[in-house]
Amino acid sequence: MSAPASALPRLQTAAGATLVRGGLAREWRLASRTVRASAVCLALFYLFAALSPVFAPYDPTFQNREMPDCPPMRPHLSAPSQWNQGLLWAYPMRMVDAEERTYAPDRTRRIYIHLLSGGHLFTTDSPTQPFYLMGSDGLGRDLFSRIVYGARVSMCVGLIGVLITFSLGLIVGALSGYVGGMTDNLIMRWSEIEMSLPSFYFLLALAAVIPPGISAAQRFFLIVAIMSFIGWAGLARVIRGMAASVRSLPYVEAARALGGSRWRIITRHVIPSVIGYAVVAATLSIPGFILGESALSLLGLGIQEPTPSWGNLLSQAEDPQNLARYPWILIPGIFIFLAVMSFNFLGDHLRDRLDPGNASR
Amino acid sequence: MIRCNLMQPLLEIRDLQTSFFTEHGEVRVVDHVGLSIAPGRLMGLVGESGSGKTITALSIMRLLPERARIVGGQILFEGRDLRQLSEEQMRRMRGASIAMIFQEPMTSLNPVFTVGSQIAEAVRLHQKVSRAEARKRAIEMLRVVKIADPERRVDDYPHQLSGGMRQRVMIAMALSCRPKLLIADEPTTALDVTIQSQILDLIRELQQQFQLAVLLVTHDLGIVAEYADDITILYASRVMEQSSAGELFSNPLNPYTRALLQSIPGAGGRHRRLQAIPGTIPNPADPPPGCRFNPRCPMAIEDCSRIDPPLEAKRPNHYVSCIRV
Repeated sequence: MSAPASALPRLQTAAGATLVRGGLAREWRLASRTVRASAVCLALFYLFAALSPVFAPYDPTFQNREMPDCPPMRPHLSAPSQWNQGLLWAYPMRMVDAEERTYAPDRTRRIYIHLLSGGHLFTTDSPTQPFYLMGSDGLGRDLFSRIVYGARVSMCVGLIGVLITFSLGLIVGALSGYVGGMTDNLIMRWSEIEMSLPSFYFLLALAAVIPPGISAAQRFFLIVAIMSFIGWAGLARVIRGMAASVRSLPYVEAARALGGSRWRIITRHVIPSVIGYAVVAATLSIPGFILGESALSLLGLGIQEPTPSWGNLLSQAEDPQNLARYPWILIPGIFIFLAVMSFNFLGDHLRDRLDPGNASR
Repeated sequence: MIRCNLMQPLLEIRDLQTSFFTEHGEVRVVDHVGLSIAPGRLMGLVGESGSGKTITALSIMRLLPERARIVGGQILFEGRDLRQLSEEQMRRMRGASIAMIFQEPMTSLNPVFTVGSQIAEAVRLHQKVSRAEARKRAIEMLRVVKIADPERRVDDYPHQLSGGMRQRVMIAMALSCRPKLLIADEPTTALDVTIQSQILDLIRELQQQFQLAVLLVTHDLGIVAEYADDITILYASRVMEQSSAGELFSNPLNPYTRALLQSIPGAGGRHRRLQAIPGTIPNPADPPPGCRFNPRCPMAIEDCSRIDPPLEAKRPNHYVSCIRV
């Protein structure tokens, strides 16, 4: 509004408030095409997770034993006269060689694909007459349905993981940096111990001792929790450094002189001043969780069949023979790739936007 | 005690000693400093940079830097020794009974919150009031410190205000819980001269309005000449002279005070050459023996470097530490 008397406070305000004040529409205009694509991509994946039964044409655990390892089918547009039967159709697949599991389209018949019917975005009359958008797996389950349901695990692992890491790292880091002294020393030495653990092997060991009897959801939360409790130390160390520098700022001293308690000063002055960095760091650490889950699931230690996750779907591509014969089983990898890249682009963008040096844009 | 009740001091510091503990050992930065302030009085604490005036102020607040510690003396506030309070008791005193404002109004406010929310926060630190009530108090306080259009200004961010207005906001925050003692540490050093006098006039006015005791820490004798009731002159962590302002300026006794007064332009005739004090303030880690001022003192005799001069009443209510007076 008025001409700033000093650049520093104005920029800090800008960093804290631009994202809110400008509104989403303004952010959208400022974003590059890549960032917009990333945002759309992530929005879609989270829709997958939230509305899996709608996006998935079939039950992800339904096994069509007649059609294992069926390749993806090509949809065709119906002639307008047949639109009452379905806007799209595909040739059903017929198994040519049961040994090699090769298929050929049966050009004498058509399967009509119904859009928005029976609570699905698209589906066919019966799962025994399926339309496999992305092929089927070795047990005849629809890969696309499994990917949609897999988004629940793979997209949420990052969010929940970051939520735990982030709150832990932020609070511990702020406390350590602000309080200083002995507390600081203890917390930082502890975080160094955690950081020096070879985390992947540690994770393997912990995942291996998870009792086999527990449900898929419990297992999922356990894995996320384990990953988060390893991951908080890095964030905490950076936040600690920032908090320690905030500690001696005049406005924090003024708050002390007004009788602000430690906790009050930490929550009101220290955390707001480091939150911008923390949000960026959090966004950039989500891919690590997605990849971590994938790696664990790939090794059979993460989410267990029949619950799908992108990682354990990809584990079928481990065998080079499978991979050569049924290349579509790599599709979950593309989803992981897209999600990870999107988060990285978004994180980079957020960092640029929150950087005071770019605030005037 | 025949002392009249009216003169009962609100704050009385006795023999305060504060030291920094460094790798090279203890460095005494406040050495046997004593002063007292009665309600409604303004005490000017004057000294050069490094004379220990800010550390004296921070000792009262118990907000010393990590390496500094009070090693002796008493700080009596309404008869209670602040040194004996627990950290939590002391925290409750800060802001509620003793408030402090600082030198840098530019950075003493958090840039990411509105000034109103910061004043409201200060109120809510010590009083159980609703948010709406606290906001009302914030607006009221902005009016008290004479910020025009307080209903609108309450939602401004610090960067939207000028330096003088920010210092007013700081004063509003400091006084929002009606403290009895205000410590102002060089409140106007960062401001230009016209704003300086406005802020000091405001402090003076509020002081009378709320019967505040004020400890004004400054290096500017001109300011204390105009605003202070009583003056304490510090040099190299010791009290050199202490009396009422009128007495001190009409009758400066300590050679250091006299030298200071001679170095103020306009104090003694228009065409007078300004007298600078030769030398520099001694290093607190290695103070000269005897009187701290003796190496620079024009009146120094041999005894000055041998005898620690005690602070004595040389005239009624006029204390001086100098063996030559």
